[in-house]
Amino acid sequence: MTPLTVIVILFILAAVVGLFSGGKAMTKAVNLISALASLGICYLGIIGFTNAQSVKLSLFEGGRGITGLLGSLTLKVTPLSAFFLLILGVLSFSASLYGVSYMDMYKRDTRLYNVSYPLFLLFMMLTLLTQNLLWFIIFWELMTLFSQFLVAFERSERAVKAAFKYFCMTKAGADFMLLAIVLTIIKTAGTAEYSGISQVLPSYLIYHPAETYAIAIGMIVGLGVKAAVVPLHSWLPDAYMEAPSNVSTLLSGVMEKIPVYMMFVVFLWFLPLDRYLGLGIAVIGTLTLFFGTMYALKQTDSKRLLAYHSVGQIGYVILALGAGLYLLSGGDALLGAVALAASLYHAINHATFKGLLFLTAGSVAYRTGSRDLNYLGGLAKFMPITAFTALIGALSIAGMPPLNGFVSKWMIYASTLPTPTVLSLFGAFALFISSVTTASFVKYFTTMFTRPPLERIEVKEVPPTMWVPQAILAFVCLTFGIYPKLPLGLISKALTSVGVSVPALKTFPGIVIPSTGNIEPLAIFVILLAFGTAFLALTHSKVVLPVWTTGTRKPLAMRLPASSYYASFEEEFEEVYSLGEWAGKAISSIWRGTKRLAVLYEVRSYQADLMMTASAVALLIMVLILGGVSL
Amino acid sequence: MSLLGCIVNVIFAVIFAPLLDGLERKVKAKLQTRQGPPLVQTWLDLIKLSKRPSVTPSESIGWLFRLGPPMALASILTAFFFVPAILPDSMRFWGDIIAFIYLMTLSTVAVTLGGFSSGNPYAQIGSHREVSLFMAEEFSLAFVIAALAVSAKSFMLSNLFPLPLKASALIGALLFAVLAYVSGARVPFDVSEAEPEIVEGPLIEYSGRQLALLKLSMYTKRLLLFTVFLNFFLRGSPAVRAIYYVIGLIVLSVIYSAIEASCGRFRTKDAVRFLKRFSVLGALCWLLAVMGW
Amino acid sequence: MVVEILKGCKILRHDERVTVAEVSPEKVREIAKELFNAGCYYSCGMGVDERPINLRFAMYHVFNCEAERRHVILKLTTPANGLTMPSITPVIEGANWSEREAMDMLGIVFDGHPEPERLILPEDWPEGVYPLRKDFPYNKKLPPAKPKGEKRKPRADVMEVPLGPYHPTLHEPEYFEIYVKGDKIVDAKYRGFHVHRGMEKLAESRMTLNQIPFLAERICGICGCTHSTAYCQAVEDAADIYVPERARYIRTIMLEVERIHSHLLWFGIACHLLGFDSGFMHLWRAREYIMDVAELITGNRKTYGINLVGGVRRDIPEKKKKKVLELLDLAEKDSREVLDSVAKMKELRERMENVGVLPKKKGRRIGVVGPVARASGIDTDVRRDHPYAAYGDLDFEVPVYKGEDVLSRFLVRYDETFQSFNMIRQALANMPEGELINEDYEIPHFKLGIGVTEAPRGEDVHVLITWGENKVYRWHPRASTYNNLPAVPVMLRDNDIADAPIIIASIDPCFSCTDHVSIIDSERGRVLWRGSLEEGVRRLGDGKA
Repeated sequence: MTPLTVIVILFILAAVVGLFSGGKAMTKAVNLISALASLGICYLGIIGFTNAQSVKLSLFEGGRGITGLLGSLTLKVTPLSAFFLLILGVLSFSASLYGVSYMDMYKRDTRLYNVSYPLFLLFMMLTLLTQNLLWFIIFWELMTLFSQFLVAFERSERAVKAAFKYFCMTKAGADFMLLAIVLTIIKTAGTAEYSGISQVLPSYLIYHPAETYAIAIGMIVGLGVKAAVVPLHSWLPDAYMEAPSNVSTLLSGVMEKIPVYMMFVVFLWFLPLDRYLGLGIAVIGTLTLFFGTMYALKQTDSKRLLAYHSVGQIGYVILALGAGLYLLSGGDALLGAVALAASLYHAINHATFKGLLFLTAGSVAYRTGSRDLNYLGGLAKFMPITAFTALIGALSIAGMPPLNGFVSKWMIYASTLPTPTVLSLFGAFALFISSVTTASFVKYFTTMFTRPPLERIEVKEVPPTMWVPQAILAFVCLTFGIYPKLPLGLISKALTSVGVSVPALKTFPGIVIPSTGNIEPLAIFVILLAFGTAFLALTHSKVVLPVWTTGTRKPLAMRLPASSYYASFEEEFEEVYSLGEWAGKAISSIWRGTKRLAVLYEVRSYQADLMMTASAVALLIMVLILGGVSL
Repeated sequence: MSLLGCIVNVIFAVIFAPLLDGLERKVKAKLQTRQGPPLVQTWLDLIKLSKRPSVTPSESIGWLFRLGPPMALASILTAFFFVPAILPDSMRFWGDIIAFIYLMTLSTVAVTLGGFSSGNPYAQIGSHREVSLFMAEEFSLAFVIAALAVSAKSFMLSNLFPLPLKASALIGALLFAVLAYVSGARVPFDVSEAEPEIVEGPLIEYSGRQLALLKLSMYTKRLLLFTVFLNFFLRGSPAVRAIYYVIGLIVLSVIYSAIEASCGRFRTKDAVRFLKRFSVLGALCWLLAVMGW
Repeated sequence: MVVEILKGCKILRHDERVTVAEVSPEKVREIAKELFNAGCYYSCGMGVDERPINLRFAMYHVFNCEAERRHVILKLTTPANGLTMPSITPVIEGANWSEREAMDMLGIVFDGHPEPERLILPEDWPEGVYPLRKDFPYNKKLPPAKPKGEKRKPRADVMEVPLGPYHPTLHEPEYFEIYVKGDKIVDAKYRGFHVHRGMEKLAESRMTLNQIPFLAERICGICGCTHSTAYCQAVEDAADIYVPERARYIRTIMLEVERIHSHLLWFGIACHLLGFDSGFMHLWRAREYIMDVAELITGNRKTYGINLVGGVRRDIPEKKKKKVLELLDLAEKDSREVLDSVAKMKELRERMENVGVLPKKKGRRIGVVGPVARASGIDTDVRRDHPYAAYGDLDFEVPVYKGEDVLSRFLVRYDETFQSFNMIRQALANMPEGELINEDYEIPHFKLGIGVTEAPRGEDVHVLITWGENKVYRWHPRASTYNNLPAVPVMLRDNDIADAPIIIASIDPCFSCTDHVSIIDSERGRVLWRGSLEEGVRRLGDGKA
């Protein structure tokens, strides 16, 4: 009984058990079992770095063709998948523990959640472990299926609409991916195993650039929809908003990273290194981070704001990936490896701090029942732990030293800014967007926790099963910020397993990239702490007086509503928003055109004789082709 | 030896920054045909403030409100550990130009969060204006930093201080000087503390020692910006460098305060528009750097 | 034309400058509307307790007919029981505040008034107590009453910002409530009269005729001379007193000196509010020369104390004239230099152009006066339309701009300043010899008089009723800011909140115009005591408050 089997059984058990009842106790049980299983995933991830666990199952004997390809299911923990397994494990543990109390918010039958949630986690794990492209697609679709149910969980009209949009877009994307996979399998003469493909495909594709781009584009579209890159991101804000908060945590923390894992596998292992591919991916990443974050600046709903930021931050990960590919194919091994390492580092950082932030948004919604930032305020007095962890999360995503966001962003700048290429411009945009992120999270944090609310709100702190996961994630944020050696060690092993040689970066006590840049987060942390506590001790204050409001005692709503924040800035950068609107209009006009064509066809399709004639002609053409007659 | 030198730098910064502010007040006064206060006036003001009690507003979030000024000053002084001031010693491997930018951002964020936690409507307006201005300024600063990084082929401070003699590096440094003016919250860019409009913005509820620390953080921030700019050019033996450094600080102060005395204040949208247009220059400078000039 | 509109009413007085007509309540709205359409704007309104005379209360509505160069006063009366009158506010927007004031201070109820709320008295003044009635002694003490609270539902996307009473942008206490959406002001409410000092009551109760000019001078720190001149002119009009020519010229010179001083002060404040402190410092330096001129002539830098009923107190001898002209030249040169460079600064112009717009029609309906009116294209100036003092003999232009924004108000004041320099020089050159004061007069009993001057801020109107025996029965000074303030909420809408200070300042507000004195325990919000200024000062000194 390998640990892997145990975990699988636990998840299936949870799902089956959850099928029986939709009551609160059952939901808690489901969540607890999932939490336990998540700990198992963490363990699996940790040991996966040292000895590769693998389980090989032969399902169908012999057989050729599709059945042969599907016949053997190998589940293997490579260092790269171990890295992502760690992300999955930590986050699903936090979300499951959180869900024990959080799901009390939903009064209705939670059977849908009970079944879908463990299965969702199970299939995410299996997607990471599988070593067969066809099984990958199967698990991928199953994962999407169960996540859809979770998005539609509230069964309100908006939730169902969001889930439907999510379904349509990811299905379309997955179809692109399926085409690319089929092409790959054909070209490798029949293997779907990763190891087989990586041996044969790169050397073949070097001489066939057209097919390289075809596969690449298919995979990018398919994975990109899931990872929500611009312009394929429009499902994300609605879906994340409607899902329960612990599910949003998993969606944004883990499910958005699985496409990144696959991209690493495809672009570093299956396809040869290509400059233009790398550049294209970097461009996509920059567009994503720019538009995602600029739109996030306007939001006044807490979860929608976080959702748009998920789009933006994935942009950083994709930009680093593209930069790494571009630099490696150009021969710069050092900076290329740094960029790829930065990509993985930002992936795990984003999972931690975004997960944390979704949990805090959920905590606030749990206690106050509201996500409207115009209405909330002053909660730090009543929910100090949530406020403190939210502050850590907000500072991390803003990239403030000495937290983890700073280190991964620094590595991205170090690998892009000093290069005399267009990557430097992308790095500059990333630097600007970092400031927009800071601004947006100042807004998020202060509208929820510090500035006075519209009308007085009095609540209590959330129960421990909800704030413990937040504290865990906050602790991880801090640790990864001041001790980057820990995650970088894991990342180096992960990268080596896909064939990227990681140069010996000096990683302790600081990170030094020879002749490019250096940073010592621990020292900065110590000095900041020293100065900070010294000055804090100097400024004790005992006098308390009411706020000065220029001499009037009228009870006015003297608080800045969230929609007013940065209004002048948004006005001046109107061009960005109108570009987005224009793109939306263009797409909807294309859609209307397509719909008109479809309606035209549908009208005609009711005419039986026209259809008969058309099918006869189509049949004739197919027979001729198959019969080998060339037209 | 190096650590001791850094500590000397920090002490120098703390002592000299208010004196520099006193010089600026004197210059402005003379341009307005006034006598003006003595050079040590700013220090006298800070000492007076530190003798007064600090008042906490009853509607504020106590711990955040208290954290604002200490973190603001702490982050600026941390930056002085790796940006050499009067002595060329610095813990260069503790940070580079990116760390410098982020520590300055941390200072702004600390003041802003403190302002938002005070519960005062004017502090909220002032703080959000400050963040808007900060975003607009980073738009230009990002291009300038990219230009300097490409020009010097790195952003380690040992490669940036001093800059190589290239056209793009020099233009980049000049653009940085303009952004240092904006970042120091000088008229016309002091929108977040516009006294007749929003009564000092985020500073409004702070008093006593907290206000003294906050003002000191503003003065040391200006000194830090001057220091980075001067470091782009200073070279030579430590004694020569120190003399040129002090002369450079005085000259920059006089120029900046003269410009301040002859300008009116921007509204937020005017300031954002100006910075948006200014970023075009930054982008052009980057283009020059990439082309190798 | 005015005579035709008023046929059918009892004409109480009709001479070349003033017409007083008693109107019946049913016809007052119609007549008021016809007067407005004929081009007379509403100047002010005075409520009077005439019970000791004829057991009635009266309301006098004053219209300024520039076309015919006369003032038309409509008098309405109502018996003491059944104290109501029809309100003319529905047809004349400018009458809003005057009627509210009469409601507040005298208890007259105006039927059909759209906003019958407190104007002058504070929220915790007890109901049913009317200070300006003749049976309310000026030094009576009252316990504070409970203010009635208001219930409002705040909107989620709007921030309500209080501006005042103590705010660095305001030089006197007043209260604006500004509703901000994003960075734009969507609405504004004004509540003023924090500096109400009860001067009207003081003047009626315990001051003599020639003490009041000195009280009037202290209505406002910057336009004091105008007020004392307007008061003296009102008495001179009621009692038909002839003022000697030399006195008229001296009054004119001091009035113009005051105008230059006021405008230079305003330019300095405007620069300071726009963030340009250097301009502020230099302009106030130029203003020092003007104050030296005033000190040379009157002995005081600001509160000149030069007017008495019938003439002036001091002369301008020949040897002073030369020094005065020198100082004027210096002041003119310096201020022109600074103002020209301020007007060229692009960032200051941008902050004044198209900011705080007051459309011409709206302005006329509200009844704005002075530079605010002239900047919205309304061509009105008391000096030219109803010449007083020596203005009939002087040669000057009235600047009118059509821009309707803060920049236009700036330009109007700029032109006026340099016109004033010329006017002073003309007056000094052509000053005739003669007496300084005419003390040979008798004060008739219960006669209505009106004195109108053009203060730096606009038209000042003093309406009074004499009493014989060296007193006044009723004195109503109406400063120009009273008519300009209702325009501020209109000007503030749709502007950036950063523009609020300069917009409020652009009407050159002089709030110390009608106020009272209270000692308030701000900690607990209780009014401890209320009364006259002198009593209040004494109490504070005794430590009783």
